[in-house]
Amino acid sequence: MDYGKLSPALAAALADFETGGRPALALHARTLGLVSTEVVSKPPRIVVFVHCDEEAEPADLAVSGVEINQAAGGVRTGIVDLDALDALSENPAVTRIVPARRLRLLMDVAKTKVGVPAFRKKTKLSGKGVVIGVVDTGIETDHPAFAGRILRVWDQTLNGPGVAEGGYGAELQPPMVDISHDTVGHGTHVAGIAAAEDPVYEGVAPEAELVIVKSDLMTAHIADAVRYIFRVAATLGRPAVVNLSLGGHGDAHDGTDSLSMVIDSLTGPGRIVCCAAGNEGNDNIHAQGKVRKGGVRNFAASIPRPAAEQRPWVAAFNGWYKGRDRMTVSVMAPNHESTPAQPVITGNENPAKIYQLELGAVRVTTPGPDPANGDINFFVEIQPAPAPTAPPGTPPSAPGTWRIKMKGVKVSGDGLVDLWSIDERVGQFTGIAVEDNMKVGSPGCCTSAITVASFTTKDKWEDFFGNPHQSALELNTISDFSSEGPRRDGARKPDVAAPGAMIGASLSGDSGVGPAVLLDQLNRINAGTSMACPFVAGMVALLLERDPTLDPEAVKALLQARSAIPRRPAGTWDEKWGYGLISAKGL
Amino acid sequence: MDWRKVDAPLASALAGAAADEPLSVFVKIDRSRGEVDEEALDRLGLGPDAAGTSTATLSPAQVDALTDEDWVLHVRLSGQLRLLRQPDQLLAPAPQRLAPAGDQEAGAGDQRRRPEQVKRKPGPS
Repeated sequence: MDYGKLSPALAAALADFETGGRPALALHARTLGLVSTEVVSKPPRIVVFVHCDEEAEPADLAVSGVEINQAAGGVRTGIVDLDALDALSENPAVTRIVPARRLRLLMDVAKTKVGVPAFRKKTKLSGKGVVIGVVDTGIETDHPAFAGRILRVWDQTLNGPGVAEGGYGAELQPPMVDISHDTVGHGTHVAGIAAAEDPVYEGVAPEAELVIVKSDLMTAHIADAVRYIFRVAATLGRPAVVNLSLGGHGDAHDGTDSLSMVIDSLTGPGRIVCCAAGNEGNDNIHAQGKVRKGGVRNFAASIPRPAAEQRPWVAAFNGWYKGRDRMTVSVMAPNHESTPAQPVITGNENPAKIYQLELGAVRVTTPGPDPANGDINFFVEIQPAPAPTAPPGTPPSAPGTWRIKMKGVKVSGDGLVDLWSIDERVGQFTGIAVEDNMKVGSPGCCTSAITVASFTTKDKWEDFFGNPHQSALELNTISDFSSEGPRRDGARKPDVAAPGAMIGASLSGDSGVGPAVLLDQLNRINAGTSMACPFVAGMVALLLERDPTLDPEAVKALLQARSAIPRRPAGTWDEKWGYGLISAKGL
Repeated sequence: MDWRKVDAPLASALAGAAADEPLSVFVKIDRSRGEVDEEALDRLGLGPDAAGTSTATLSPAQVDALTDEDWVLHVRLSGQLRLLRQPDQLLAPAPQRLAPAGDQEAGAGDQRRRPEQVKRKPGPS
């Protein structure tokens, strides 16, 4: 035996076996990949990593009692009789033998936290007969977690004749669904949380069937996708829940945007939509202030300048105030150069005006009242000029502070103005106008949707290679990144919170993934309200299996009645938690 | 163009759009407001039965023509949404070794499960 090639844990297990026989392996079997420890007719075996020469042929590693799974690679997996470890360790092609470990069941932690396993055991519900629609980046169609349960894929990014809801993309049915690939991996992970069949990372509703739309994430196409999923489900005579783990801030934040209104028109008995709340809890994307008649209010935003060699970017800001008021909008650059005050422009003139300032181009758009809600919407887009080329080694220039100046021309109420940054990466608000609320955008603001915040059930994990990791998230509380409500009109969003960090679920083999988030060859770990949303979609599938006629209001009432915020009275709503962490207990 | 029917993002896009630039839009139709040109609807990809809020991909000239129709309530630009997951670099800021230093190999061996079943195509490295 070449003990130098055995990991300490394997050496210890082997020593105990040699001195104490099979009973001595019992303790190790709880943590190591030991099998057949209690079957006396078979030798005890252990699942291992075998570190070996990269070029070693299978014949080079052929040892009686050893099965290696891969024919190539510097680290291979296999299963070894404990009696064969001696010969394997003496093999010159082998450099190290490391036992497989039994890891914590991450998805099970999340599900157990909210009582899903007990609920499913008691009710025997599994999502059978329910369609879960996932509008996302697609799905790895040959992932074993979804075998035989993908009914349709509408790949909006492929060339094809489209479907009834839109003359673009291609609709695929098994076995042709393999034409579509999830190269991002987000959709596969989301679908796995809702519906994976997996011995470890099982989804919430593992027998639900899937209708997948691989989308380009344009709101109009997402609306088409929701229509498509409900139509397919209706054709099959099944209830459906649609998962939308996506969002943006180009809307009115009151549920009157077009996508939200389409969803409202489509949902009903047996037709539910779940939306992620958003991940901007730590970002200064919302500013709010009151403007008096004749007064001026500044909304300051920090906008970085691109370097000369970088592609230019545009920081866009979406503003709203009451339709009874009238204000002018101007933009002041960091050098105090300013655009003229632009009033609301109605009639036969395009309300978008472009101004060229020394430090960048500015477009201000000030149309009349929005037909859907009667409020005034204005858009400000700033394309900062590239920073001058600096000598090598000079630190990049600091972001500049731009100011959106609102002047009250006619103000009859409180003169409240709300502004959102469309993309926090190129524009965030600074100063006293920053408000840490109203950061749930569309479609999370949709009235009939169940909008889901993220709760952290796990903060540590071990990757595929055995390296431990820890996130900066606080355990067993609302995830700090989860976006706060309410809506701009005061309506309560998000609705509930669900496990969204850290969640292990299906990995798309077609996507790139870093080693730190890889759990095994079939699963990865991820976090976000994107992950919390399909958790609730899976729970809704269970409820629809039991009662296919449930409508959004009924589902919300069921979920809200069993949700809670720790140390707060039952029924409390909070802008970050909604009605609190969901619980399947008593559903 | 009836700019009253155009939302701010679409007005902004139209200000910088080329004549043949396709614009993905929502069109809200109210059939009670006038006789609907069914052929025009079909030609624009809205479908002859379009009602309520429909979607289409239109040129600036087609947007212009639509806004002049009495039965069109408004035309809005389709926005681009984003996926709501945290970036990988925020999930695992830096590898940490939680296991005692003397048990590093035990940590390195923390692979797991069902290798007997790993018969699928190679995963990403």
